[in-house]
Amino acid sequence: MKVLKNPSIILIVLFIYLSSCETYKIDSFQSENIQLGDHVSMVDFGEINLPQYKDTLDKEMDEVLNHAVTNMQVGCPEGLLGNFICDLSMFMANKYYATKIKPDFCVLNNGGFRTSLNKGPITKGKIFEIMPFDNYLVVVTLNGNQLDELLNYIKKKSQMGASRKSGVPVSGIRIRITDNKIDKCSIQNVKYNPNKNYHVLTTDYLANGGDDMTFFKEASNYINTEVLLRDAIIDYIREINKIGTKVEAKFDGRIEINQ
Amino acid sequence: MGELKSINRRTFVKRSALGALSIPLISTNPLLSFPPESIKLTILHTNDMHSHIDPFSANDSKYPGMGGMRKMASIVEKIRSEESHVLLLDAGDIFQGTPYFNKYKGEVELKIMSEMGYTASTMGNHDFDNGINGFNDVLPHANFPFLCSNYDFSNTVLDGKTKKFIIKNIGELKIGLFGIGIKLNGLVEKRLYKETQYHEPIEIANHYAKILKDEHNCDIVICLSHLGYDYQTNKISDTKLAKSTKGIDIIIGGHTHTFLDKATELENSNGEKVLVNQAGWGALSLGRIDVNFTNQSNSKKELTLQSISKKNYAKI
Repeated sequence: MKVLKNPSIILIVLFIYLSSCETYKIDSFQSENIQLGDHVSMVDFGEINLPQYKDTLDKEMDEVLNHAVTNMQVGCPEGLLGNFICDLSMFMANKYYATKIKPDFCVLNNGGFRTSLNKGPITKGKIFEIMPFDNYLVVVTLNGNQLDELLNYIKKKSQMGASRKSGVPVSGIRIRITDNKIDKCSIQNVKYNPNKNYHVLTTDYLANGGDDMTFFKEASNYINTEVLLRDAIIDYIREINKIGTKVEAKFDGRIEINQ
Repeated sequence: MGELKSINRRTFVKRSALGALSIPLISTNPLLSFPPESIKLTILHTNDMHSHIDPFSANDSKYPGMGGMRKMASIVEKIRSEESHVLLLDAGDIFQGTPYFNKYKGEVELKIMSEMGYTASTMGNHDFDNGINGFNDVLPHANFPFLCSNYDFSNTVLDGKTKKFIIKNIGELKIGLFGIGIKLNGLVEKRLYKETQYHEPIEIANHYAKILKDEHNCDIVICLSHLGYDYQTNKISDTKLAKSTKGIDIIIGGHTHTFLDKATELENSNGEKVLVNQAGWGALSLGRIDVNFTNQSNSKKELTLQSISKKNYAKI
């Protein structure tokens, strides 16, 4: 202590600290990621008034639109959920959204449907869960070559077996696959004509080549209906409820694999 | 220990003849307090939270009652109470996945992250889902910076609203941070990202890592990335970025929704250690890396102090 009382030493010490640039070197790492199980408590965020957002949202999302008479899931080569959504998209597009260029058939993707539709009441929130993405319904025109590629894509995906992303949901088109070949194809109940152009209803995501649907990128006459696929689903389900129709779907062999 | 040391020293200085002169210096210049020999930095990170504010629903087939930002916040709060030097980072895709985003366009997510005290984030492809204008509209709700080093927003509404890199001083540490985004073409529609220009990650990462390490003498350089953990193909990923660059110590990743038990250790192009980590998605997992630092000059300094003391002893 006696030494440190010498002012000159203090100055020297201060000088050393002032002139030295502190640098730290990484010595070691430890890492362990933490899973958030159901036991973890929740923060309410009173400062930002979370309930104000949540209550308004819950009120809107809890609206019961209609009832489903059966469980609907994606499937391969055909699934009830895919059939249902493609059919209603065609119906709504032809009736309201795309009346100038009417689509001949509809192609969507199973990867875009994020969950199943359960039997019973259908809430608006459920439709948001199924289709969270803001994908717009669009109509594109495919020529013979592009349609050929689309058919091959459907053929390949239809033979992939059961997985969330196998199979291609369609409406307005029927395809039969025999020995890895498409031996039957009809569009609007008329035999497919390779020399004809067809108008296809799909989403902007797929029309831009999403889910490897690259053939769509070459398509002509891109028309965006400016209607979200999710809104089409919600509007249809709500509308048929007004006339007392419940939500149902059937397998009809629209894509068939002939063993 | 470090704290005790400095208290003793302050007490001493106050008593000394020079006390009156030194006190103002001490309170304004952090260099005057004794630097600790070692510091622990706790890096907490999230990615791909996808608007999951509330936990997954109780009847979710995979994650019933799990995850969500409200749970994330309580874990972060707990760790902050245990550790003194905490960084909280996000690697993008904050948006899209629950009706919160559809209805409020990201406002709630950014407000919550601001409350949670995020240090920085980068942009993921889904953060463009309402278009670059939609992102710009809700950006004022974030009180933390977005680091986008390889996106050039010059001809967009985001010009000047994101940062190429930041330097964060926490305790005695100088932390360099920058952010790398994924190639937007083919993943995001042009009408959404508009005139945003994407630059190749490796060159940009090397550039900013060098600036942070060599010019700014950062003690650690962290890259927030939305490239994705690893791919079978030649596509650029976090693991490829780690191996093909130098100057980065940690890559905090996202995009591929990869759940890792802990960070992966790799070697960079100089043979130095790089850590790559990712924490799943849906606010189901919090990434954690604790970094221990030692003061490079401390041992040398103690020696100098001793020798000065001895010299003066001799004189007295």
